Amino acid sequence: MDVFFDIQHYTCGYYRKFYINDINFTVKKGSLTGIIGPNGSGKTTLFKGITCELKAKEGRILLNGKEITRMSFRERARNFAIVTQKIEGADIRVEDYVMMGRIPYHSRFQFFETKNDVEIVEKYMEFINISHLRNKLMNELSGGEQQLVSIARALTQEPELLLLDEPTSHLDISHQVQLMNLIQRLNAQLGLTVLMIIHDLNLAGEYCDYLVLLKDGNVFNQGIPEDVLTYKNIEDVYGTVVITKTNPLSGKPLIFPVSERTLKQVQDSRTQNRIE
Amino acid sequence: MQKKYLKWLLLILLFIVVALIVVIHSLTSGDLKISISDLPRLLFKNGDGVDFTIINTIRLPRIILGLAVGGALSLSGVILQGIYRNPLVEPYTLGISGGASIGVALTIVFGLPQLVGTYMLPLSGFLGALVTVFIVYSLSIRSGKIKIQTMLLVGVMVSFIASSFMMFLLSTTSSENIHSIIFWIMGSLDEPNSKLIGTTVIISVSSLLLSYLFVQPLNALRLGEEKARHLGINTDISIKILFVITSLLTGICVSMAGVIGFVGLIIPHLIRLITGSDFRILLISSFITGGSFLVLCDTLARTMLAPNELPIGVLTGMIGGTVFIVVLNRINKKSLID
Repeated sequence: MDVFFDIQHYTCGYYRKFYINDINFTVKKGSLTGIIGPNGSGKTTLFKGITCELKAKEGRILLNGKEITRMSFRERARNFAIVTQKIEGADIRVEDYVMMGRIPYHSRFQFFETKNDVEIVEKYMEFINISHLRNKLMNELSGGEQQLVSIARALTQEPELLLLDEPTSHLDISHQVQLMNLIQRLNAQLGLTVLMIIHDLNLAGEYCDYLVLLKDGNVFNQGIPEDVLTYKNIEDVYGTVVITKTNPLSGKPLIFPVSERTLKQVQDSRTQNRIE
Repeated sequence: MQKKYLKWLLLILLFIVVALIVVIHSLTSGDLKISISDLPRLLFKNGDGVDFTIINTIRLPRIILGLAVGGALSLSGVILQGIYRNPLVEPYTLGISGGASIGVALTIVFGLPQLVGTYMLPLSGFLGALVTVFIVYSLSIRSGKIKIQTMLLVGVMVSFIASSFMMFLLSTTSSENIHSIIFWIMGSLDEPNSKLIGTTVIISVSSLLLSYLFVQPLNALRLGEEKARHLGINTDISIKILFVITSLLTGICVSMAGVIGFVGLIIPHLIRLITGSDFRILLISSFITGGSFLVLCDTLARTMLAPNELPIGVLTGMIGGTVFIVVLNRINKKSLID
């Protein structure tokens, strides 16, 4: 497993507003890495930095040793496929939407898709199991289906790295799990390296090989989920009391929120015990 | 996929057939009725009768100009809608036509046409349009993002300012200038200078070809600017070049035929319903159909109240304004404007 995506001393942000400072981490080839942190911790800012929507103030991001800001738009699109939360293109047919992932491979004078393009589109629609939706329009699909189509489009870009921005955020638990299983399959069967922002700590703990925990624009902690998702880290970063346990099947960490009332009851009974 | 291309080909043929019908209708109707069976003889053989003169020196040049101007207006409409991802923008609603008309009016008032020759009016129209695009674009950008609503409002205001300024020019200039400005504002496809018609055709067709080099950016922009960049499109440069193309087209249309509103709105909207939103078919279809539409409007304008001739902008404005309201209504229902 070699390092192939490397973020070094990366600082970026919005004019006079919010900044992420001196971010350092690496993504190993073939890994599934998650970026976690509370609202406002800089996850989205970091994502925009990685996708070159924001300019770096300091530091650099390397893919296979090459600085990504030095790449052309087209070269970047062949290396990174990006799935964002908001899906647009309401009046586009699913098949055509997926085909748009081939744009980075088309020359300016190429107006028609090649056989190869069609094969690739078919392959990934099959893999993700959305072939039956091909003739529907994007706005006729549910949120979960749109997310799948968007991922199929990303796969046809045949990227080195798949970037996902909170892919599960608007989905119910069954769709969340289905989607995460799919991402895991992409990772395992296609050998795709995945870097994603993820809100849900339990999903992050269960599925990711490596986690980067952000707080106030800095990396607070990083490592394997078992080391990062400790109750102490979570309480420090999120400012809320939690309990962590181990998932009996996978051995991965699970996090339980503790409500105010429960917390009070526990504290009360403890004090009572002490008095007695 | 192959089926899709076949469908596109058939659609293009269909639009061409419609265009031919409109052209033949326009050639034959008017004060002097000409039967269809006489057309080949009149068009392709020499002759010196009245009907020959009318067809070849009056109706045909007018039709050719109509096709070029209608196509250009419709093309710039469809491109602008692609850039802004809003079906309501077009040269007229964005104030680009207004800007172009100021450019032309100023040139007439200061007597510049005589100074630089025949190409002065198209050139000044283009410059007026370019300045307007720049103003509308920079006023509607907030922290790097285009605010569609702001832009539409700015566009409408620019149109108002342009027409007020036009009044100002009219009230201060000499009466012969007034005549030529008014004549020109009303819009007409009556253009005696065949050199200018030729130039319009060349610019219009080459803009269509040029726009095809930006078919990928336009298609990718359907997903928004950020997504388009993620698909490897250099959106900034593409959008800037497309703005220059649309300004050029609008400028030349306005300087040749006056302010003709809404062609760039109705046609792309209707075509999109038929062909879908892929720009590869949308651009050429809008171009052909825009041309036919304008020729049809022009035929109506000169035959409806014959011997009087209606300004062509009147017809397109009435039809187009209505379509605008219908579209706006539908969008509000779908709540696309946020």
